Amino acid sequence: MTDLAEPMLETHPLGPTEPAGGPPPLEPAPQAHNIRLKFTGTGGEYFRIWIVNLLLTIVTVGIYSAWAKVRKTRYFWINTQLDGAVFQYHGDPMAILRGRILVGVIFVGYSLIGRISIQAGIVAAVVLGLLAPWFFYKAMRFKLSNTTWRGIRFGFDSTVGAAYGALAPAVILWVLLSGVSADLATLRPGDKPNPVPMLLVYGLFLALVPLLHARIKRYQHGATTCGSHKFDFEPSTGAFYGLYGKTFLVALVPFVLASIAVAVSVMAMGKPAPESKASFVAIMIVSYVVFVLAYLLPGSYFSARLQRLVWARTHGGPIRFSTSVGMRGLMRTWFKNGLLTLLTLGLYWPYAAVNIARYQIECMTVEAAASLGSLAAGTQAIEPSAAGDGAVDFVGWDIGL
Amino acid sequence: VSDTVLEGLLFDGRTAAATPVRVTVTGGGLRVTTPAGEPLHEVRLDQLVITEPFASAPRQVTFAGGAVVEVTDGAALTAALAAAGLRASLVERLQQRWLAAAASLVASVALLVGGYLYGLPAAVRVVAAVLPASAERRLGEGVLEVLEGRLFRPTALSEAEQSDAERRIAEAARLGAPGLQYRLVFRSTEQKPGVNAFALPGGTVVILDELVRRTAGDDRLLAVVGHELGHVARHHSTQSLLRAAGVGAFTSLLWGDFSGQAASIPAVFAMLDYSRGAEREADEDAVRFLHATGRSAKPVFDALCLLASVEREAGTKGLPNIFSSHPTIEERLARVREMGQPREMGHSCPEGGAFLPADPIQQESR
Repeated sequence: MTDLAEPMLETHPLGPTEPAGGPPPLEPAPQAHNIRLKFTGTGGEYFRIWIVNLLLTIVTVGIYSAWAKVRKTRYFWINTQLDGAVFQYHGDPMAILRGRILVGVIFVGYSLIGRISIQAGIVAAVVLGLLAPWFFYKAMRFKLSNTTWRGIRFGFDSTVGAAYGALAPAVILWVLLSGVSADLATLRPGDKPNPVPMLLVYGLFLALVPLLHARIKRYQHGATTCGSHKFDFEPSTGAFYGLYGKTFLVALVPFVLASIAVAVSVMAMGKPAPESKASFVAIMIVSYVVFVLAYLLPGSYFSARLQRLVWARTHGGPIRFSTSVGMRGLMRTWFKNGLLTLLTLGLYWPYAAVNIARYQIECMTVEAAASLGSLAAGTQAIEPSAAGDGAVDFVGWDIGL
Repeated sequence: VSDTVLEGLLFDGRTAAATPVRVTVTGGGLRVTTPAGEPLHEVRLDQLVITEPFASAPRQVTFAGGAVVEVTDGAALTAALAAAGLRASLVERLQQRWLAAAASLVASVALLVGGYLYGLPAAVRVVAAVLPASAERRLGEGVLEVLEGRLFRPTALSEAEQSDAERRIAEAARLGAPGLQYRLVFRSTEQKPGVNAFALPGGTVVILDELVRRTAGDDRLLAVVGHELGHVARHHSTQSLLRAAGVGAFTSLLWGDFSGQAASIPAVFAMLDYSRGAEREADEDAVRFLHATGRSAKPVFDALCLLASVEREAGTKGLPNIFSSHPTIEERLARVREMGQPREMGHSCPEGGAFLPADPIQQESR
């Protein structure tokens, strides 16, 4: 469901580079102009779409979920306006259904294997990790090649090989993590775990996350095309390390405060008597609220700065992007909508999805030093297989942004 | 009736250039012309390829050859098409009405609750009944593998204690549960109370050391084993495991967590949590088991009392169980007394004191 939050940010960069022998250059605009994105969806309308989708999905034991996804995506796309024209999603529900069935079989098998034997489950996890770049590549192709704006199709100009090249470090780390977990899971009672390999792998993982993130973004945005024009993503590994470092510092403050608050509330209650449900519930609530707040601050900081970082570095010739998403705006939006969703037992969710999408979309500006009307159609074919699309939906992997 | 004329943008599919056009809905079709009135495209309404209607979004009409016309005022186009007799699809009409949305909400909630309360248990019963015995045994081995080390330690019973218990159980099972495949596994645990036994899918019955020690030389051990063999014969643990897997798969769909190992642990613990009905059936089976061996129902009553008292000794450790739906010990004792000779058993446990609210046979699962 996460892709709801950014229904368009990830897929609609526009702009040219100059592939050899390639497309006609963009006509220069009379003067550079900034075009703001507009979102026209409303919570009430999406609520009705969402609830009808939900009912039909339940009644058809999940089969309708493919059509539901298409309806939902179409709604968000077609309510997003750039330069007087809207985006359109063309995903074929039958292809999405086939992809979901294939991926469903794979994942149910994986989860059953994990229940029968831990070792077999870990082998299955490694195999899935090895498949992930292929899924990612296919998902990007399916999503982008099924999106149009002004009759021009987007695309993902890459190869399976390039996907494996870009994601190789992440796959290797995943295999190492699985191996370490296997080591832990097969310990017999009384065995002393050897902490060295585990600490090494987790340390390596933490040290490399910003690098991996930068690689994935570069691959994603650098292979995106609009018509015959290809996008570029500036190398930004240093910026990602800066972002992660600053987020860590931002997270430290509320984390320390939260820990103190929880400790104080536990002490104030005295030693929790096991029979006393009231004190237990009170401690649960206090800890929960405090930790939600402690997550909100660094979470919105990270997300806002990430969006700025990524869009400032994505461009295609005369077309650039910027976003005014800020930590405070994002925090306010998340908090208000998250709280209302909780209080309404999830019924506010469609309103929240629309509000969050509106905030993020309307923060976006396309800076065009060329006439967008001179973008030409490309030659890339539509990706027919939705297997990758199904996989990223299944694991909730947000390929957005 | 005058034809509706709307503003639109034509995209030829070759470049992103937008050409302003007029869109006219006539009686039988839709016509696209230049602002000056020169015809560009025309299509019959029954062959129209058009995007879904939404309240404030444009609608797009696709023509043969890939040209697209975007009508900015989508709502006006929808109204014109409706006036010309083009009906929206059922889903489109449903999602335009608040009444339909409210009805969908009620129906969704009813289906989810009903599915959990009736559909899932029914499906699980069918699957557990048709599941081959070998598959059930493999499930049981997997569960044991997860519990070894987390909950169980190797047994401290001597060979003699083990073979004595095995012999007494085998003798009783020959009469009490003829033909039932089962396998006894002795384990100890650091959890309190350790007086307990479990049935795993496929017929493995795990007996904890403390249970053997505290029931040495009397029939309460047989009563507990009879209860567990009841779970085995009725595939209760397989059903619980499947039910937990079903709920797990559903929630995984919602939250997208498919990490196999992390998902398997709560499922295994949930498996040890039987429903009220399952516990009652197993208690009744225990009484029948003892009756078949020529014994009275009293050991079942006494075993429940023993489990209640050791749980009281251990105290309620860990989190209070807010959502407990298990039968109370009073209910279970009353049912056992009803099935046996009430006079043998009295109205409360010999150790006296109030009965505990929780079901001791499952205490270790929390």
